[in-house]
Amino acid sequence: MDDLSSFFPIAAYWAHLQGLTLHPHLLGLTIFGFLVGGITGFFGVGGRLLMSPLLNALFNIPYNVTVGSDLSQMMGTSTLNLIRFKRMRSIDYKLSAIMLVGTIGGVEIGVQALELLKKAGTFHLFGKSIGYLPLIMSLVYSALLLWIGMIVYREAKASQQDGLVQGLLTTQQPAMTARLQHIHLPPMVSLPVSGIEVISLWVILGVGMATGLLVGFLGAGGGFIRMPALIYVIGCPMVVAIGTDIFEGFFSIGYGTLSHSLKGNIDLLLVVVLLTSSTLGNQTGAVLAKKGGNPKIRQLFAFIAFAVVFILITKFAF
Amino acid sequence: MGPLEVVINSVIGTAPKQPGVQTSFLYILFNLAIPIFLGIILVWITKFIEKGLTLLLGNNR
Repeated sequence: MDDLSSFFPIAAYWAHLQGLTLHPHLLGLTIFGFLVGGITGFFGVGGRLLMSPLLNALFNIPYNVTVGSDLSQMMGTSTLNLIRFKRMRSIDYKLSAIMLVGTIGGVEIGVQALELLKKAGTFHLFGKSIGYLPLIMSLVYSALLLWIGMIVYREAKASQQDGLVQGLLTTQQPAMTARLQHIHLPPMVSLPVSGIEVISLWVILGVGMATGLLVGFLGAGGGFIRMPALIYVIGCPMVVAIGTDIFEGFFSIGYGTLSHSLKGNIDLLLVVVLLTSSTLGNQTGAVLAKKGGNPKIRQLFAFIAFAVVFILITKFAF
Repeated sequence: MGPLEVVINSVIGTAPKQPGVQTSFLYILFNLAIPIFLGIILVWITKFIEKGLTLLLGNNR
């Protein structure tokens, strides 16, 4: 281990075990955090997914530490979102509580899957030693970034033609919502705050588990799945979905942080640097988006996402 | 050693020597509490940034 282990002891410990040479640079990490936060604030959806793979690709920080630390710093951003959220009455607490059961299960499965990969070691391909953890994680992140990049690109293109900004998954949803709300698999629950007369408990638990998996395995907040799922799968009104997403997100991220803490995956200084820089970047990006954002610029996010995928692939190739 | 350095060193000092094997209660507490505490401080800072940037860039969209 080198001198930096005193500043980033957890990252250095796991990097040493995984045969990586750590490149953390305080100024570099601060600028990086600011830029990723700026991208998230400017473009909205999916920006957070860039953090973890790029920390690994640019600074050689092991994936288990990038995921754990990213999640811990999201405790800060979700606290900030919760404080700034003014309409606490619009939160569906009953839905949040039920969903949280599924989410905690999903988070734990995600964390355990990451632990399995962490302990899986390496294999040799063309005389090169490749770790299962970086390989699988890079593939999963690449697939997700390609998917989100394509959705954003298509939406930006469509909104340019229609003059409308459309949300994620807008076209097929009403039919899907109706189908899912007609699944009569007991126990059935009613959600008066969301205006849902009856829905199967299993649908809510399933949504929670899917988002929990993303939280535990990828260190993503899960909002980019939770929000559309709350609106289109469960059938919440937009205002309830926003509040419930923020509220449930806080606790699911909290549980994820706790679980990753117990596995020793969180580097505190990394958390502090990334939280501060990305929050400032996020706010700057959000203000800039209000002033000069237009659908055409949103296409740029797709290119950023594809560029990150390219970086991840080239890291393995060379 | 300045006060900031002392704080950083004591925070870093809670990190387990063998992560995943010996995890101290303080390390877990810090991982949860420090981001929450920082988040609360950042609420005020981001408000200032928002106001400042809005003034700087003008209100017209």
